[in-house]
Amino acid sequence: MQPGATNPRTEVLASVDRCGSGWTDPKPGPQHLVIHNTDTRAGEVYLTDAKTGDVYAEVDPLGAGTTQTLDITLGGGSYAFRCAMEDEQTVTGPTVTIAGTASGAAAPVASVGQADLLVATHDYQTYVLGRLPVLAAAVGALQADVARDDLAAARADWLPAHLEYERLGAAYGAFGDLDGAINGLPSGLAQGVDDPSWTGFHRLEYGLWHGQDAATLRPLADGLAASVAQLQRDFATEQIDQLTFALRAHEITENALQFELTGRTDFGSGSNLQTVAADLDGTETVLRILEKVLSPRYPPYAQTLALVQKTGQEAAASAPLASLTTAQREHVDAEVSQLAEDLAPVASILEPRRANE
Amino acid sequence: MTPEDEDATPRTGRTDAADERMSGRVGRRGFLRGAVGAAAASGAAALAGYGPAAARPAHAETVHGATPAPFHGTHQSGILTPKPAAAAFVAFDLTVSTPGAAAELLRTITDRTRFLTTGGTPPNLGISAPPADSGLLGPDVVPGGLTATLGVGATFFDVLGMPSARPAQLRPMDVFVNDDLDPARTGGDLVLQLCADSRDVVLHALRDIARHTRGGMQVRWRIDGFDSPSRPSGASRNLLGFKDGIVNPAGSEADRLVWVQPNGPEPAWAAGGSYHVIRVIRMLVEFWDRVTISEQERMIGRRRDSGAPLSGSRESDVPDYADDAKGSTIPLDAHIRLANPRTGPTDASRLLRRGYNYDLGIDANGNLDMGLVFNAFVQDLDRQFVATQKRLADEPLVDYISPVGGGYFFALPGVRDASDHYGKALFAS
Repeated sequence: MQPGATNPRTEVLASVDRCGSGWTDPKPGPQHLVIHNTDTRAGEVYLTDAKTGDVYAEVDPLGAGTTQTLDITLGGGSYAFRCAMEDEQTVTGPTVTIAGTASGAAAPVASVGQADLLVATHDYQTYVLGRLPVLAAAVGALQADVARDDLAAARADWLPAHLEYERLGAAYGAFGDLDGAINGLPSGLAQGVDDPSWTGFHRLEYGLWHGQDAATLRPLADGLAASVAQLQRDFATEQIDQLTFALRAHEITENALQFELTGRTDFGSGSNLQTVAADLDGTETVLRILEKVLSPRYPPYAQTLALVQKTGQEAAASAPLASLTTAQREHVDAEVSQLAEDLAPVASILEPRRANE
Repeated sequence: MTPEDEDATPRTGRTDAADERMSGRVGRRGFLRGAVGAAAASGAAALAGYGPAAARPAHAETVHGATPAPFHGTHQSGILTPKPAAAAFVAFDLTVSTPGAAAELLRTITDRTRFLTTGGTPPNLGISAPPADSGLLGPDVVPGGLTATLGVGATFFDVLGMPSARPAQLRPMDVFVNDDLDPARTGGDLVLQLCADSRDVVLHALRDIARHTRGGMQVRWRIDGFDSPSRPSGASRNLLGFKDGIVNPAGSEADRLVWVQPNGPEPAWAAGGSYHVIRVIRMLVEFWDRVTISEQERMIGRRRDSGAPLSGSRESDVPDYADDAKGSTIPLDAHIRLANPRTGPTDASRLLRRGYNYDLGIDANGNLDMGLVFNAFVQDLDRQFVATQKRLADEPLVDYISPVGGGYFFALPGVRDASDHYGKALFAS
């Protein structure tokens, strides 16, 4: 924490013509930079290492004519502002050198561009496309069980099908409306669990574990199979948003905390912890795909990956959530929420930023 | 309660004298009427400065120099009056089913809130009964900035068999696409919003009112709220760390945006009242704290530090959307942009917000359970609240918040004078 108001105040201009102007004689230690966008366009302003272009901090967005403060502690080195104004090439301001050292100085991170994420996003798409036939087959087995009125088999086949879907890492609606159809919850529906528009895995789970008959469940199983088939068709042709994909590495864990470890998504199967394990499988897949971009920028990459694996294995082997002792439950809550903390920087590090152009 | 109402106070095997006291015919309330009389002069003094546009009414001095919000007026206090630090929102279900019993219940609430908001010395009941007051505020009840705002839900009219008296748009709260409502924390026949300068005053009032209405209504759900101090200046912050309630309609706009007007689509008795929307919105604060500042600011549309819109530099700067058609400064799906697009057609959908932060402990897996009691008053439920809420459907912020309860209510018109009481016009209609 820096007591910003007491730091020396420096006015810095941000525009295509005068990027970084005004920052002339900095001293090591806490900086209180007041950045004015004097351009007619909105933009993003980065404080960078003048030699490498790595980014210390950003103001994003900075509207035309607006002022925003940036408090940061800087040690010795050479620095430059980079102004990325809308519809303009980026501009790098004059190099400013600080001599000396400062404790608590910020560390820069190499910015990630759209192109860096393109390969990883493509790899993820290939991975999901490879898994979708497996999902379709598992859902097909469930559908056949319901069709021939074998609900005991349907209960047994529901879990592997659902876990296969969870492994894809579709946290927070990554698959759009189809995710709602395949894995939606009754919350937000006027009639709750009785709402006819509730469909998908959890609707089937509710029916299978609440004594509903095959005639009731048949259209739901058929609908699930149709939605998975639709997902296969869509996924082959649609572009995945790169930023959304980068967020997955963090958000799958948040999703598990919010919906699985609370037991909120248990509609009878008692499989929340197995779902957590499947979610962490998905996280591991995403982290591995991102390894080349992420590991040089995120020092705890290897140890975080190991924690993902360990937590997933423990969750898979665990007794059902409802039967855990307080200590056991605290243990799994601690591991998964620590992972959420550890993975939170990934979304920040991987947010695409405009490099020197 | 009157003895004529068969479903009034449940009998508990007490003596007739105790029953009589509980029924309020000659017992406790009789004494308290005397106490209210003593404070009535100060209440009347306050009344003079009170009107719908009065930002801060003239205050009368009372026993300890505290400043009572006026109780009597065309409109209830606790709507346009400044927002004090502490609040409780308490929904009740009726346990009486006749209009007569409900009218008596509302008369009791009137008497109690008139006394509590004005202040005074509770009577000494001697050896006839336990003490008249809980003593939370010491021997003399100070007003402590207390306002009590009473509203009725749609089910109030169902229970009492008075469908024709129901305000035209009053209904159970709609379920919106991102809601996760718990029925046990949603709805209610009545709602009481208690606000005061400190928590003890709020809790004192709640205990007093509940004590006098035991047989007539039961608490269905309750949530307490607090307003944070201004840090470092300007509007107070919600638990996402952002300044909240920066923009609110001016008092001069109340007849257009807050108060139901006479001779319109609403029943005649409803003029001077207001639709009251309460939404208990959990904030997933652990998740939120793991999100970058620039993503947070793009979701809200304002700077976290200053409260300035992303198109400005100060909290008071007006967001500029005309020059930002693509959303490169304030994203098109930013909360403030969807909530109030600042266009001609959406101008009449603005709300009077009077929200409070809440803190309820933890959830099933140890995450903190805190958030916002979204609290709004509108003249027209559909034109204002529902239209705004629909614009916000699936906004990026929905991953970090979860509406879990609340309700639609109708804040009754004010109690006009010492001879008026809550629901008088309603039950006469």
